[in-house]
Amino acid sequence: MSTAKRVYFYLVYFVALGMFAAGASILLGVCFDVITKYPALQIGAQAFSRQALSLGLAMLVIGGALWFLFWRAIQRNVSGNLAEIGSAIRKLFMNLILAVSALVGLYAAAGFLKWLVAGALLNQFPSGELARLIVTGVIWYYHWRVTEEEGQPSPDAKTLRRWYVYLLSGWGLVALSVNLVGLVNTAVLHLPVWGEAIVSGSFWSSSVQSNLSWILLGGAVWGFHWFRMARRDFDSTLRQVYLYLLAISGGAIAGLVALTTSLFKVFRFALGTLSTPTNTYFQFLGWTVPTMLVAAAVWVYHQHVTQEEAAHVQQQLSARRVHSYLMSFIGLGTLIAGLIILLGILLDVPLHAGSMVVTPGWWYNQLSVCLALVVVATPIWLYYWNRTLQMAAKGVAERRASSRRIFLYIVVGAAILTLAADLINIVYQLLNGLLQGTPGTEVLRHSKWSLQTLVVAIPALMYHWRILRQDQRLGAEVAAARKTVTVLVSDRAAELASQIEEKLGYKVHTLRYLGRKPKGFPALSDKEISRLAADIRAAPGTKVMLIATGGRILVLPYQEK
Amino acid sequence: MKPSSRWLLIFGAAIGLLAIVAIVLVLIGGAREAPLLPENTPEGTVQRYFLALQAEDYMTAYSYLTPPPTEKNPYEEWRSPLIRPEEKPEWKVTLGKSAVSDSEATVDVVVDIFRPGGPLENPVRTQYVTFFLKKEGTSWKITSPWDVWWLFY
Repeated sequence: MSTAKRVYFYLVYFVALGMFAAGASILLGVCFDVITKYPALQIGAQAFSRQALSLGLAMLVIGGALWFLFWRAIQRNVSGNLAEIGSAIRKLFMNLILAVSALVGLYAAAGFLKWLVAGALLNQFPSGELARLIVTGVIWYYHWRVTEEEGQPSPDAKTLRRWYVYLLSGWGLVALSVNLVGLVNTAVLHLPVWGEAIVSGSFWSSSVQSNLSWILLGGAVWGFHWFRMARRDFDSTLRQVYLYLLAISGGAIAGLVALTTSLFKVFRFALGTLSTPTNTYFQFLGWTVPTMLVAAAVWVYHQHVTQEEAAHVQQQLSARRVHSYLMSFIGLGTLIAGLIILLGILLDVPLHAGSMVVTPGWWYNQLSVCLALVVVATPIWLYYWNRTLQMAAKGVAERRASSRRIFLYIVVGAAILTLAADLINIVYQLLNGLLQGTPGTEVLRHSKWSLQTLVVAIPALMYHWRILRQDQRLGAEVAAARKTVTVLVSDRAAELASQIEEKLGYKVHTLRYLGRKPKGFPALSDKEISRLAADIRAAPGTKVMLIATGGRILVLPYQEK
Repeated sequence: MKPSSRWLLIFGAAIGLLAIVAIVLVLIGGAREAPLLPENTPEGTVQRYFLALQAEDYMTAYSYLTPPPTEKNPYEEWRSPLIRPEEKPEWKVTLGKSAVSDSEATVDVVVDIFRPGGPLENPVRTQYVTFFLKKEGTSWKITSPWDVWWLFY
C-alpha cells in the first residue's frame, strides 16, 4: 500500500470506529437507563429514550458497516505482509486507538467507581459512564489483542508502541501520586487536632470519592503498563525519558517544592510573626508531607530501577545527562534567588535604620523565604553539579553534549545581561544623585535591587565563564567532521549503532538486515569501537556504510552517482 | 478461524443483540411514564412543574413558582430563555429523595439532557438539582431554582 492509501484507510477507519463506538455507547446507555431507572419516577423519559435510540441506531449501523468494510480491507492487505504490519501509519493509528480508548475508558471508569463508593444510589446510576467503559474496554482489548498477535516487526512499530506504553505509564503514575496526596490532605484536614477553627463537611465527600477512584485506576494503569508492557524494554530511549525526565526529575521537583514550602512556613513560625491562628497554621503539612513522601517514593524507586538497568543499557546517557543539568539549573536558580533575598535584607537594614514607618520584624518573612530556598537548593545544586563535573571529566565528548552547552550558555548569558542591567541602573542612580545633589540613602534605595543581583551574578558569571573557557580549550566547541554513516545490522547487533554514535558524537543511520541471522556476532570492546570510529573518520569521502558480516565489521566508503 | 476473526464475530453478535435489546427495552419498558403524584405534595408540585415545561405550557409551569421579589418583570425574565424552541434538547427528570419540615421542603431531582457532540463525547449531560419549596396555604410553591435556562443549554 502507498503511504497516501494507508493514511486514507486508517483515517476513515479511525473516524468510523469513533461513530460505531459512540452509537454502541448510546444504545448501551439507553438499555442501562431503562433497566435501572424503571422503578423511579421519571418525567420525559419516553421522548428522551427514543431520541437516544434513534441516534444510537443510526450511528451504530452506518458507523459499524463502514468500520467493518474498512477493517476487512485493511486486514486483507496486512495478512502475512510484514512490511504492512510494521508500517508506521498502521502502528500510529493502532496505538492512537489504544491510547484514546484507554483514556476515555478510564474517565468513564472513574465516574462509575465514584458512583459505587458514593453509595450506589439507583436514581443516580451512571448509565453513560458504564456504557462508555464497556465499549472502550472492548475496543481497547480487541486492538490490543491484534497488536500483540502481530508484534512489532519494525523500528517504527517499536517506537510507536513505546510512545503508547510510556505515555500511559506516566499518566497512571501522575494520577496515582496526585490523588494519594489529595486523599491524605483531606484526611489530615479532618483530624480532630485543628480545634474548632476548621469548618468542613463530612470526610466522605465527593473529592475523597474521586481521589479513591483515581488511586485505584491510576495504580492499575501504571502497574499494567509499567510492570507488564514496559518490562525488559531496556534499549529504549523513551524509557530513559520516562525514567529520568518524568519520574526522577518530576518527583524531585515536586518534593522540593513541598520541602521549600514547609521550611518557609516552619521558619516563619519559629521567627514568630503569624496572623493566622496557630491551631490551623500547620494544616499545610497535610499536603507538603504526603507530597514529599510520595515524591521520595517515586524518586527512590525509579532511581533504583535505573541502577538495576545500568548493566543492560548501552545508551542511557542522553536522558540522564539532561536530568543532571536540569536539576543543576533548578538548584542553582533557587540558590541564587535565596541569596538575592538575603542580600536584600542586609541592604534594607541601613535603609530602614531610624525610619518610623517600618513595622518591627519586617525581615521575618523575607528571612524565612531565603532560608528555605538556600537550605533546599544548596545540597541539590552541589549533588547534581558535582555529578556533571564527574561526567565532564570522562572526555571531550561529554563536554560537547548539547545539554551541557545549553546549560552553560544560558547561565553565562543570563549573568552577563543581569550585570549589564545592574551596572546601568547603579551608574544612572549615582550620576543622577550627584547631579541632583541628592546622594546618599535615596541612591542606595533606588540601586538596592541592582546591588543585590550584581553581588550574586558576579561570582556566578566568573565560575561558569571559567568552565566554558575550559571546555572550549579542550575542544568542546570544535564541530566534529560529520560523515553520513549507515550501519546494516541484524537485531542481535543492534547496540552496535549506539556504541558507534557515542564514539563519533553524532547520530548514525541504521538499516535492519532481514536475511538469515549471522551466527555468533561478537560483542566489541571499547577499544575496538574506538578503532572503528577512527576508521570511519579516516575513510575517504563523506559517506560510509558499515556491514557486520562473518564476525567482523566492514567499513565501506561510498559515493552516490 | 484466526483468533482476531473469532473476536470480531463475537463482537458482531453482541452488537446485533445490543441493538435488538435496546429497541425492545425502549419501545416497551421506556414507554412507562410516572403516575401523577398528589398536587398538594412537594414531589407532586415539582412533577407538575416539569410536565408543564415539557408540554411547553409555560403559564402553568410558572404558576408553580414563587418569583424573587427583586424581579421587575418576573414572568418575562423567566420566559426569555425558552424563546427558541427549535434549539431545545430532549431532557428527562428523575425524582429523588424529598424532605419536608413544617412549611418548607426539598426535592432532589436528576436531570439528564441529551445533546449529541463528538464521537467520543458523552451525549448525556447530567445535573443533580435540589428544589426548595415553600408551603402557601394548601399548596407548595418552588422558590429555588427559580430560573430554568440551565435545562436548555
